[in-house]
Amino acid sequence: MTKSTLLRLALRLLVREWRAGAFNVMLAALLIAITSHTTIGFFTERLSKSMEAQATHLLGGDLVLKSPRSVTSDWLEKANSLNMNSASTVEFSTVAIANDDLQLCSVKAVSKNYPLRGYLRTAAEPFGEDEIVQSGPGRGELWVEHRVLSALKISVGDTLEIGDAALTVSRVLTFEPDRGGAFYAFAPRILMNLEDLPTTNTVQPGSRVDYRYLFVASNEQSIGQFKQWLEAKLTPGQSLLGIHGERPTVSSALTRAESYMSLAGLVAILLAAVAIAMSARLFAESHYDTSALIRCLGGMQNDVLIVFLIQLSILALVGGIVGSLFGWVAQAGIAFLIRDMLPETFPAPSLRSVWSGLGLSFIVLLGFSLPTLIRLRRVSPLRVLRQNLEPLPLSGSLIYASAFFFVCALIYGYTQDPKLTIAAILGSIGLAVAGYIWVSLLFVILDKVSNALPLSLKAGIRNLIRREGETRWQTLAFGTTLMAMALVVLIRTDLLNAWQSQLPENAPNHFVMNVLPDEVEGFQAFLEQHQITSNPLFPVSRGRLTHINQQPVKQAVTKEKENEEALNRELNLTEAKDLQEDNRIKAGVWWDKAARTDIPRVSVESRLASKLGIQLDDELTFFIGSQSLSAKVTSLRSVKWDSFNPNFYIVFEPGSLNGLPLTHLTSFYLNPDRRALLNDLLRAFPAITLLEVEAILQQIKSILTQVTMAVEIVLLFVLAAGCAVTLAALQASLTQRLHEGALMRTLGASQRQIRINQWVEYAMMGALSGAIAFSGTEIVIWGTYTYIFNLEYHFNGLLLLLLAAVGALAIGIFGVFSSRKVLGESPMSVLREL
Amino acid sequence: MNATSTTLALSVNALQKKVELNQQTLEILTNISLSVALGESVAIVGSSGSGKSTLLGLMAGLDSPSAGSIELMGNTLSSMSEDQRAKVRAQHVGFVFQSFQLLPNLTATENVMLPLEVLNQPQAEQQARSMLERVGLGHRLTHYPKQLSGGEQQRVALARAFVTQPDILFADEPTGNLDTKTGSNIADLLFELNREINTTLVLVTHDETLAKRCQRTIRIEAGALVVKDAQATEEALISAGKNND
Repeated sequence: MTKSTLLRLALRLLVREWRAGAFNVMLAALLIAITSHTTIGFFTERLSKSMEAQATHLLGGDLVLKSPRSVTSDWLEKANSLNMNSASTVEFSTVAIANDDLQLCSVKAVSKNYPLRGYLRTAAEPFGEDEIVQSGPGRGELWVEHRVLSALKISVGDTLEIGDAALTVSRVLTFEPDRGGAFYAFAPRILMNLEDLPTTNTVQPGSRVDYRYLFVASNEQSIGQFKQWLEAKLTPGQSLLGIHGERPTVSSALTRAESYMSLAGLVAILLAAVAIAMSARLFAESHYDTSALIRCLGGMQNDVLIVFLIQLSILALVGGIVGSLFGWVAQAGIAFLIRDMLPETFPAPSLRSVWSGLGLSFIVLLGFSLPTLIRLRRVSPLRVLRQNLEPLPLSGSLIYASAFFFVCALIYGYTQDPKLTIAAILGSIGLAVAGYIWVSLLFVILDKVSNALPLSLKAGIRNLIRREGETRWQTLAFGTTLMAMALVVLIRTDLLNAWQSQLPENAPNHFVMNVLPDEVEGFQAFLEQHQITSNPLFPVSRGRLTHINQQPVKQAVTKEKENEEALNRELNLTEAKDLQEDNRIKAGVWWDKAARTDIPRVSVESRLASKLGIQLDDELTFFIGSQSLSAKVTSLRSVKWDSFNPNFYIVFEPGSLNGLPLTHLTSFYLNPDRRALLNDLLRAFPAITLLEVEAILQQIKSILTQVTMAVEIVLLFVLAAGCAVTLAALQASLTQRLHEGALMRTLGASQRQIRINQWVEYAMMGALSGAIAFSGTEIVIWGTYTYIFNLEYHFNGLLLLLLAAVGALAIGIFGVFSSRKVLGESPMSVLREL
Repeated sequence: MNATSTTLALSVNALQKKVELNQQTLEILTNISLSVALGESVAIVGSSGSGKSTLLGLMAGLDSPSAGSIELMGNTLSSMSEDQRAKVRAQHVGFVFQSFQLLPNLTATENVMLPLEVLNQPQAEQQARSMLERVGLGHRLTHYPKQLSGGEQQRVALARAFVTQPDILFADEPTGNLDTKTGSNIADLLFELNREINTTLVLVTHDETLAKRCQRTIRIEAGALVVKDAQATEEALISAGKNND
């Protein structure tokens, strides 16, 4: 047959079969896969662009170079040559003087175009209404935090001496985008113009100064290029800050959300692929006669294959285009629904997802249906005379190998992680084998139990057992589908819980430091009186880590760690009887289980410990005030820095800090409407240091809300794909079931009897699937929580009942609905049509 | 082509067909030799399971024999690959089946167009329409098989079989699924078209009345020929030779 004849024939058959509904399930599954893929693609692209934009706000630029010294001008020229804008800041500690009062402050001198990303907020007076400003103070001006004003007893408009320069306080600084880090460890902030810096004479050779160079570019390529260029030139002490890594909260939520969406998207696509493979098998089986006839009339073996290949390619193209269109509409709808939570300018998606959607459409459709459709090529033309002649099956290994290859390719394409791909594949194989054994075992049990059941129930179960081979893979398919859906729902719930508990509605938005020991009671009474709930007050001593195992710390650590922030500044040291709720012991044991030692025991934050090479039983020496304190490391802890609760790198056992200078520290939540109360608090306790973190908190919360929304939407696709698999699997045995049902009715079975049989059969299959899904879910949850999401695993026995009930109900409803023809039409018309 | 191949449409020599079933070899056809002259009509009769449909399948090139040779319109089918046999079928053979074998998703016209399209013939639709009109289905051109009665479906199948004006037509129980009256009408149409187009007809049936309408009857029992009307073949060959002169 010529190419044009084949094309015409393929199109003609396609149009007719399309109208007759032969492609319904296959096309629906394909559309689900592509819509899911492109919606996730479009939306995550927009979301990550938006989140990256917000994250760059937290940095003040797209890329930040941090250096202990100023860099040579050629570095900035290089940025210039790549069409990048740059700004610089110089940060140092110095004493600010007003009317003979002194206050140690953290001064930041900023160039006129600072910040390059994000904004500052300032107010005309302490705790007054603040507003957004896009650049820093002008020459001769200072913007200061309210605590500078209260500590030095001055107001806006007064003069403040910084080194040799006398500058005017013009605004109260309320928000600085790139404050970052352990913000409550810093002295109060003063922002000044970089051009005023030389007149202060505060920065001298040898001064401890933090230079930051902020860069932005209109395209990612320049940033990448510049980053690469810089990395080769960095000297010890210099480092680059990008949008991942600076803010643990945002970065971990973003990473988790991306992993979740990718995995859930992958689940939706794999489920849809299963549905496609199943419906392709049905399609192939229903086309043996067509294939035999074309061959009988003189068509070649390859002609048959080409006809079906053309049809599949057209389907893939239509699926790809329509799916991408649905995806675009879906993501636009989502963005519209959550418009209040999105930033004003939500970046538009690119066409990238359309191309990948089209590619995926061909891969999924051809990859999962071709192995089955190839059988059509092998149909003997003799089938026109002998209807029972089935084509020689392809070697099973070829079908499984090709499906396996495409599954691997899909998983890798989605995760881009070879280790995760291998883990997922090994896991799936393990689950399939275990599932098969489990199904077989359940059938043996069912067979034994059914004898004791009433006749109406027994008949349904007998039906299942009679079709054992078929029921076995159907049960396995439903089980896998239920498992995938359960996994996606459970992981979503736990992820959201983790995020919500991380930043609950009333997460502390104020930190208070320097509460003196004799003020503790009065301070607590003030909070109680105004019904402000706070964290406990932690005793704090400020000290420096000087020795590790009696060796000076700078010698004990490697050269590149010398500039580690923890070594170069005073740390907040505390003592506590109990482990804080959100801390976890990573190594060693807490005081109550640790052996007593002759020196105090200490617990160290695990990341700091690994950076500085601190291990259990090491002896650490701190210099506190004018005294030194040695302690033995008995535990290493992980700390949730993003919880907005007071947290510490170093925690001593109770009593260790006796006799040392102590103040207290806590955090509390105050509704922003009640901010005026802070003036009363500062008047009552003038020595305390009060920090507001509401703005940062809001920023992080808004990002988490967006991520949560996106996660919920992906879930819908998984559910839709699950329904497609269920339909495809039921369709596979439908003809036989309809035939048997019609025969039973012909032989006199009542509608009620048939209905009970159907319910028992389908519901039993659903319940068995639920049991399979339960076993798989628990194994996978344990694996992914432990190795991917870093969440805690809890065994959930109730899930077994829930999944069995959901399975019985869902498969029961779907099954009885799809077999309704048996009861709705006369047995004669059913038998005639089959 | 040699003299025989110009006068013989079909020549079968020492044909054997064996199949493996449950590790046993089953001999379905044993040492069958026969010839069919051009333009001749031959009925193959026998009881169910006698092997007549298997023989038809082999002679039409739908299957390959275990031993022996088949020559169809000068082509040695037994030494050809499946795709080569398909080419021969497209060029020379027409089929009519007991179960009609119409594609359910194509209209009557499209079903009849199918063999023309396989041959890449121009104006396939026009030819198909006029053939359907010839078999009395001018008013059913756009109907789907489901919308046609059994008799009408078999008429569509006849139109499809004759539309390419095949050299040889194989019919497998063409009236087997039809009532007596409709069956008889279909048989009339089959022989009418056969005469018009001067096609060689090989007809498998267990209906003796239908078989008698053929020039010659070959009986097959348990896979072997029982009666072979040698004289009739000779006469047919002579008459075919005369026609060719």
